[in-house]
Amino acid sequence: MQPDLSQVSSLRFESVNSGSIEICSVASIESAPIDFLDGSPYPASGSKVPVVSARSTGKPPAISSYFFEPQTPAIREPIDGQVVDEQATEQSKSSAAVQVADSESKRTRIKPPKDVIKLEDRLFFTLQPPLESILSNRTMRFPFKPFEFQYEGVAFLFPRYSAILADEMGLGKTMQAITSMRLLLRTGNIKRILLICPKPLVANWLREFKTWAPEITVAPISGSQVNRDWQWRHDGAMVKVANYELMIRDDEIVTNLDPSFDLVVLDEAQRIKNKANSTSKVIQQIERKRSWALTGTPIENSIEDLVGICEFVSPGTVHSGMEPRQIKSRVSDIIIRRTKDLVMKDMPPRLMKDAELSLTAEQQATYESAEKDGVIRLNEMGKEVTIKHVFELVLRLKQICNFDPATKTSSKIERLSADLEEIAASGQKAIVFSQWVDSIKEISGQISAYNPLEYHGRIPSKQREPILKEFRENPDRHVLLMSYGAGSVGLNLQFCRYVFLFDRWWNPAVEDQAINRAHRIGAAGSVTITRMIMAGTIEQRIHEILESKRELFREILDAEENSAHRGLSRDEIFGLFKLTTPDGKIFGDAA
Amino acid sequence: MDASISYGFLQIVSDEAIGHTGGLLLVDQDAKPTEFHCTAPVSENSTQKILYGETWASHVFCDLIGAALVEKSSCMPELLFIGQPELIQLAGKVAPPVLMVKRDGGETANQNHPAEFPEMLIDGLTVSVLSKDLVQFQFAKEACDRFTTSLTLDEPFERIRQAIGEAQQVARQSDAA
Repeated sequence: MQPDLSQVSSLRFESVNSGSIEICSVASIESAPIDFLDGSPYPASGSKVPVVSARSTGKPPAISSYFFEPQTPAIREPIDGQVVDEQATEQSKSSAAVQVADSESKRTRIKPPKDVIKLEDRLFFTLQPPLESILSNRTMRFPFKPFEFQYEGVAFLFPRYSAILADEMGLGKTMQAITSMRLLLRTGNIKRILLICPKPLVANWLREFKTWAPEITVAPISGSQVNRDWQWRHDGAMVKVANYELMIRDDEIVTNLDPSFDLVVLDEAQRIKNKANSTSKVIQQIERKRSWALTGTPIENSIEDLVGICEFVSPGTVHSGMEPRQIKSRVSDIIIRRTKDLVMKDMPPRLMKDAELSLTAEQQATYESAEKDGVIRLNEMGKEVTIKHVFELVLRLKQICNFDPATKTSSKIERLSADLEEIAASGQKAIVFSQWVDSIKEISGQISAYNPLEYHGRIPSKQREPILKEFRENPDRHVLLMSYGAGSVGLNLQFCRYVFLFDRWWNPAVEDQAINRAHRIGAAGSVTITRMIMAGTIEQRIHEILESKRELFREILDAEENSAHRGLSRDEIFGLFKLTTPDGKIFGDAA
Repeated sequence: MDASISYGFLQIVSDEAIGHTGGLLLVDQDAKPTEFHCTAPVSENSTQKILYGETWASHVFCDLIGAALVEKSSCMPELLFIGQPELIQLAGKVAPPVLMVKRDGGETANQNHPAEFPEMLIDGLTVSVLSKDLVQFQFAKEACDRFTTSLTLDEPFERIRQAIGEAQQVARQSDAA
């Protein structure tokens, strides 16, 4: 006997993700007694059933039913062929080389996040086809096949309302974010997106959207106040791209938009690590349904950085003062971080070389004099001394390590010139990073034989893209001189195989960002990083402190990093000169 | 091309502690889910085992679970795919043609009826149309061709297994609460 479905009672209600849901409730046969009927044939078992008069009492198992609305594309298809740019091509080359042979059979499934409670919503994600299938659909063309870990990143982002994509620099956070946005737009889950990034990266994002999702309409927010006002309120683009600096200027508009955004994505989200600063406050007030943060350095200086980012992504999840272990547990479902070592087994190696150099005679004399005078002055200041005074001395000494101020002699430039000669002769390209624009200009003058290009804060935004294009395309341009501030994030320069850190930044994370402009997906081969360090100087002391911190930086994100401060703390800066802090304690003892 | 074509995939998940749980997933030609129906677990007792003997599994799988699930679907699938021999008896008891999917080296779809049903090879899978009706076979073949996804025809069974696991986990958490 067939189960009597006429007894089924149904409920129908709406679900955010899965459309209408019907739940039918009937008892299980588990406890049902067995009836012996009067010999009437039992149709299900037919002649093969030896006891045809036996059946369960007609109470079939309960059936729960879930209905999913058809996911019609919310956006039109691309009409023209894919736009392929050189940087994307780099991923293609690398992708072909690195993808494992059995990737065809790899199936990345979208798993529901922990904060999705309702079964019907969880099933919506569980029952989706593997991501590879969705993305291989003829209406979802890609210029190149993504890496496996990139599929996993998309599968992570797609179902989440709160997410931090914290992959190490160079693993394609941009592509993963764009693909996830594309999927959400296509499934009709979202319609309006705001992407906020540092100003120099706006052009990069526009280009990446064109490459990875050409059908998505993207509008940069820029221009006069009147123009921006119109763009915020009336531009119908699916994605608006704005820079962080605009947030304060357009505070009134961006926090009062109607309709609000379905998704706000922060690129280089460490920019809001200080939740008390004005930009962070404005961004936190932007009305939105989903909040994603992209950052290669979720913990740049201390664990408070992650707390600040979480304040945007998932307010209240963690707070200041929590134990690192507690924070790790609470953010485990909203953060994903992969390192190159973990996912790019075949990626070309990153070769670190510490070039320990000696000051020139002129530099040595100037350095000793400046240090002696400086320390004496600081000691004379007694309790009046502040971190600013120490910092000024550190900067002064670091500048002397670069160039002797009077004669402009420099051991570093001698070493750099020697290396560049070989690099240029082999047709390779190099990036040289420095903290100061003045140093960059001096370097530029002294290595003019290699046609250096400059990229730093004094270069207007509009001129920056052409400079990168020139560097990429002109074989006679062998060197790009960049400041850490302008060139450390978001740029794809993977065709360079040499990176020089002419002077050291305070924070290893920023140095890593700089190095990863070249050492990223698509890298043409091994990338050699030369860190220039003047032996016996302030540079060496800073280097030792930073290296010890790098070793300690483990706890929250992965086995390689620790929640301890990565940059130099106040006490460590005092410790560089064996000074005591005003309260008398000596913390740093690196000198 | 008919955009409304619907494919059904039926899978029973058996667990000694819980019993047999059935899941029916309906997908479109892109393998995207349109409906999912699952049963509460069905357990046998010793009396039932004695009464039904070897046919017990077929009775539970086909009559109690499979047929009920198919009946419950709001949109009758054009084809119903199965992967378990216990469900073979469903053919003829439900409206859509029933197709047995097996990987090479797996259990034979029609092991009890060698060469009884016509087969076709799709993406390395052997698909048997559990019907002697050639018109139905032709219909099934054409419908399979319209399955445009790059996925193989045994992939949706994995989704059903995971969904049933998800449902059971939620039920356990609910009970614990």
